[in-house]
Amino acid sequence: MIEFHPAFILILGALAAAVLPRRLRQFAMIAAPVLAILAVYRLESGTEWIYPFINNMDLILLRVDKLSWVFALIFCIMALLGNIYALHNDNPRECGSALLYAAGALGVAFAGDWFTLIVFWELLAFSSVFLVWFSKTPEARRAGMRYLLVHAFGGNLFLAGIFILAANGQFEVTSLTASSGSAFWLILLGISINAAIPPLHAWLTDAYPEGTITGSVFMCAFTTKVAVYALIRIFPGTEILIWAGVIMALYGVVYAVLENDIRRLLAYHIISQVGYMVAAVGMGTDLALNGATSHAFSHILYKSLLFMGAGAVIYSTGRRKLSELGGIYRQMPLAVILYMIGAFSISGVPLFNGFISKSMIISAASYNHMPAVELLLYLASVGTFLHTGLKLPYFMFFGPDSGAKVGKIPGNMLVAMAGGAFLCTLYGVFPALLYNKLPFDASYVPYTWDHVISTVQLLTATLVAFWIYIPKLGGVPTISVDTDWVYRKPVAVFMTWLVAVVCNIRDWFGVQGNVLLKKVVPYFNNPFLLVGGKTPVSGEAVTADYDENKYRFPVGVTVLFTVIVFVITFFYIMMI
Amino acid sequence: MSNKTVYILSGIVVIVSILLEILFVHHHAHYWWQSLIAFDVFFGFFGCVLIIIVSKAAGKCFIQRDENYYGGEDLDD
Repeated sequence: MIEFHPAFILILGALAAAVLPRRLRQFAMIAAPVLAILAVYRLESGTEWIYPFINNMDLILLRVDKLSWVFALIFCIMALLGNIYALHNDNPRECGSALLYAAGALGVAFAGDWFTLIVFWELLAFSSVFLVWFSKTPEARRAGMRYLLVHAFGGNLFLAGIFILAANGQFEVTSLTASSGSAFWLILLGISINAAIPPLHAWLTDAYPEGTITGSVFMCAFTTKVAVYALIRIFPGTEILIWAGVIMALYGVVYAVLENDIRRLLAYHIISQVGYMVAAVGMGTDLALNGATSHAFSHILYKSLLFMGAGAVIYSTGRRKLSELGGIYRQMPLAVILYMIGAFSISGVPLFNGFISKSMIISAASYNHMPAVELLLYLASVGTFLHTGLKLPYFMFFGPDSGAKVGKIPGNMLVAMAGGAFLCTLYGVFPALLYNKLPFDASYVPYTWDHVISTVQLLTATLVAFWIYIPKLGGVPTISVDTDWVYRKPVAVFMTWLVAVVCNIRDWFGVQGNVLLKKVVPYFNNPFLLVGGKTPVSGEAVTADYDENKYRFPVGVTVLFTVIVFVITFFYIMMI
Repeated sequence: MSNKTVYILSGIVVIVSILLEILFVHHHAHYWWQSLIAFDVFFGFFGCVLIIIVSKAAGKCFIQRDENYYGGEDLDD
C-alpha cells in the first residue's frame, strides 16, 4: 500500500495556494487537507520512514503510533475547516502560510527523531507569524515581531536541549520524564513557551487577537495543541506540570473577566483550556493522558469555532471590542447559533464535545486523589461558562444595542462554522467515535446521572450569578497588563538606554580621536616642529580640508581591474 | 429575557435537578463533598461570584491600564 506523509501533502498544497489564481487556489485549499485526511487514514500504527543521516543518525520523518495518529487526524480536520473559512480570502500568500503552518503541526506529530521534530517545530513559528503580519496594522507588525522573538527563543532552548541529548547519542524522540539534568529542563522550558504556561504565555494573548480574521482561526488550533502533544510524548507524569496546569486554568479565567477585546478574551480561554491538558499530562495516568488527548481534540474543534464566530463578527461589523458591540443578533442569527454551539462545547454542556473530554480530566484528578486539583479545575470550568458561554455572547450579540452596522458574512465562513458545530455535537452525542481513537488503555463513561446532573447544577448556578452581576461585567475600554509588560516596558526602556549609552561612548571616542588626530598630524607632516622649528614645509598645506574625491579611483579603473581579474580567472579555469 | 424569567427558569431547573439527584444518583464519592446534595449549585454560584470579585479587584489594583498604555495606535517605527 502506498503511503504519503500528510505534512508533505499540505506543503505541496501551501505552494499551490500561494501561486495559483483564485479558482485553482480554492481548489488546492480544499483538496490538500482532504487528501491529507485520506493519507492519515491510510497510515497504520508502526509505520516508519527511516533515512540515514550524518553521524550515524537516522532521520525518522514518519513514525506512526496511536498518539501521533489521533493528533494528525484532528490537525488535518482543522486544516480543512480553517481553509473552508478562508476560501474568500484573496491573499494567496496568507493562504499558503496557513497551510504551511498546518504542515508544521503534522510534521511534529509524526516526527520520530529530535532533528525532524525541531525543524517542523520551527516551521510552526516562522509560518504562523505571517498570519499576524498580514493584518498589516502597526499593532500586528509589532505583536508579530514579539511573537517571533519569543518563539525563536523557545525554539533555541529546545534546540539546546536536543544538542545535549544528541551529544549523548540519543537521537530518537522518547519520554524524558525519568531523566533530569539540563536537557530535561531546556526542552521542558522550550515546550512550555509553546504551551503558553504562565509566565511564558504572553505571546499568545498578544499576537492572536492581532492576527487576520482567518489566520487567527488557524493559530488558536495549532501551536498550543502541538505543544500538548509534545508534552504527552516527552513529559508524561512530570508532576510539576499538574500545578502549572491548574494555575493556567485559573489564570486565563481571571484575565478573561477584565478583557474587552473579543478575540483576546477567547485567547485567555485557550490558556485556561490548555491548562486542563497540561495538568492531565502531569498526572500521567492512562486515563489522564487519554483526557489530555481527547480534550486537545475537542478543544481544536470548539475553539476554532469560537474564533470563527468572533471573526465573523469582526468581518461584518469592523469592530472588535465588547464595549462597542451588542444588539446585533437579529442580523446574524445563524452565526449566533453556531457560536453558541462552540460556547456550550467549551463550557462542558452535556451532548457537546467539551463535556466528554473535560470530565475525563477532572475524574482522573479525582481518581488520583488530588482533591485540590479537582476542585480548582472544576472552578475554572465555572469561569469558562461565565465568559465564553455567557459574557461574550451576551455583550457581543445581545445586550444593549451598539448601533453597529452589520455587513454580509461570506457563505464559506458559515459553512466552516457549521462543519465545526456539527463535529462538536457529533462527538458530544457519540463519544465512542472519539474514545475508540484514544491512544491509552483506559475506559471512561461520561454520561452518568452523577456527571450530567452535577454539570447542569453547576452551569445553572453560574447563569444565576452572571445575571446578578451583568451590570458589572460589561466591557470597559482598558487593556490588561500581562507578563509581556516585562519586555514591552522595562526591557524596552533598558534596551533604548543601552543603545543610547553605547552610541554616546562611540561618539565620544570618535570626537576625541579626531581632536587627537588634528593635534598629531602636523608633527608627522613636519617633524621639525618637535624641536621647535617653525618652517612650513613646501607642498600641500596642512590646513587644507580633506577631500575624499581627490583620492578616489575613477569607476573605470575599478571596472578595468574587475575585467582583468575575470579574464585571468576565466583563462585559468579554461587551462585546467 | 427579563430578570424574573431567568431566575424562575433557573430555579425550576435547579429544583428538578435536585429531585433527580435524590432519586437517581448513586454517588461514588471519593470525598465528602461529592455526596452532598446540590453541592454543585453552591459551588457554581459562589465560585462564579468569587471569580468576578477577585478578578475585578485584581484588575483595579494591578492589571487594568488605559488603552494607550503601550503607545496605542500612534506607533512610530
